[in-house]
Amino acid sequence: MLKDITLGQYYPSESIIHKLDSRIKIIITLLYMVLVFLIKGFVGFALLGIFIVVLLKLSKIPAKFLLKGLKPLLFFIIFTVIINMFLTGGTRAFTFIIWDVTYEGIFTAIFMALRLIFLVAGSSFLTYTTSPIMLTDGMESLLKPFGKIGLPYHELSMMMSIALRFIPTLIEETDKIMMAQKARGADFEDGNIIQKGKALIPILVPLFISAFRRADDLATAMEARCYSGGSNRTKLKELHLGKKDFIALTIFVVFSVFVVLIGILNLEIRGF
Amino acid sequence: MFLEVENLSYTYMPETAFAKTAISDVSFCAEKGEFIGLIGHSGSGKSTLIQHLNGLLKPTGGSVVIDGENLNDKNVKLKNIRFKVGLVFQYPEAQLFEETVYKDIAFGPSNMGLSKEETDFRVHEAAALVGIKEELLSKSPFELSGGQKRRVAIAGVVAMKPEILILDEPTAGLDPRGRNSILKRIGELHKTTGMTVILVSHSMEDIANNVNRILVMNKGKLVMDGSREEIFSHVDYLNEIGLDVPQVTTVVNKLIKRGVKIPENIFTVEKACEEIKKYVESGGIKC
Repeated sequence: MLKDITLGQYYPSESIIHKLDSRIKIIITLLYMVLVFLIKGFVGFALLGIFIVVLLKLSKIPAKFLLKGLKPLLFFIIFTVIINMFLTGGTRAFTFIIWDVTYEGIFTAIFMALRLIFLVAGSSFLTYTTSPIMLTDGMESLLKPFGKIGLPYHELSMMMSIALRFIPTLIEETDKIMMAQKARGADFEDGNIIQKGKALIPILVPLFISAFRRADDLATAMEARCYSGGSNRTKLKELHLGKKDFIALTIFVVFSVFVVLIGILNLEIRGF
Repeated sequence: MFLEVENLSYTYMPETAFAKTAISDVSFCAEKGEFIGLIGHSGSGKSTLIQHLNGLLKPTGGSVVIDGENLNDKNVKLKNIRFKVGLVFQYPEAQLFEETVYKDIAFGPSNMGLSKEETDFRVHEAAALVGIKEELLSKSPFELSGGQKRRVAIAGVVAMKPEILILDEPTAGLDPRGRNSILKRIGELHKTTGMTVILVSHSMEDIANNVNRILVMNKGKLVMDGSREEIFSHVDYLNEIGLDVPQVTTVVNKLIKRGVKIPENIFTVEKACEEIKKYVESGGIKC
């Protein structure tokens, strides 16, 4: 069922990682993404693997939960692997029917797959360990400097938080409508692609109607309470940078530098 | 027995931080033609329970047997079960999607693979049963009023001619007139078609006016199962689990305490009027 999609969900728990300032977590996630693309050897990926395992332990998120979140990517990963394997030039390793597969191709394919997996696995910790409200608060605070050049940062973060807020609601709604149509004998599993597409109409029409109604209701409710965004709004929960946040950032930066250095050294050794 | 529920348990999102046991160890049976009321406080597991009866949810423990077919059995075609056990969800108007009322009511029957003539016949029959006028059939369901939409949605399930009809809070959010008329229609449906009806509600009045057997749920468990008279005589227990007896029963019980000689077990306003009138005419009250 749709409820089983764990990617992008918040996993409530009382861990150290959960308590970190969301701004620090966003910055670390951005650095992590850069790091994933800087890694060019297996040693680096092994280190990243250890990093993920440590993160799992610290954040008390079950490994099963993380793996389930990766599942929707499977098709995407397989697709990239195949494309890279066949379309990279270099020394021929073997021939698959009529297409040449090169050593370089195999290597790039594996690296691309690992890169994708680590990219998603690592960055999903941000949403797993940060509640949506904290996340958008953090984003707003990080985007604030850009307000000077006219970026509507408050509106952007408001839109983000509303969108995030409604993901579970819409999933629940979809589930309910699916159940109601199933109770009337609708079939979502069998049939060819056209029949399957047609079977979606009884879900999509009610879903859109309810989404528009909800958006309307929300707008009315916000207006009724005289909502107006902007710099004068105060927050119930202010973000505070503490000692642990700086420690976390320092540890991550040191780790990144270490991983990159190892990678460079490793390349030099292989270069011989 | 037509419907047998045995030791049914269900946990939402088991083995995660969100795990929540919705129902545990629920067992009951139902015969054909019964009119059963299912009551319980919000979150007592009523909705979860009924979603098991047509196989929408797979139990984490226990079993449901409909007409001799165990829903846990992999060979049982759940689709066919769903035509036998019609389930009307809470706020069923949210499921309407077709361009016309006619097409929407026909969705269920056409999924059953019925012929055009049979579908047509059933749509008209179901519309008449729930009180939808012929001229509304060609309208868009989104143009109708709330009560009419609700009736169209119910007709969509009734048109499948299920042997058990389950209605989850069919009167929620309707005005008194809409409420009474829907309940009246359901009562007539039960009488004319002889189908088993399970009515989920937390309005004691709705339940008292219609059903002959009541199931009471509390915190995921089935705590009482008995006739209307039996259940509503346990006023204190019902209050304890956040339920109540019909208001008119409370009034009657208070009158009896004050020495007015009318019989106990009165659950409808009509009956109460009749008894009080009798008492007054027999000279019970001296002015």
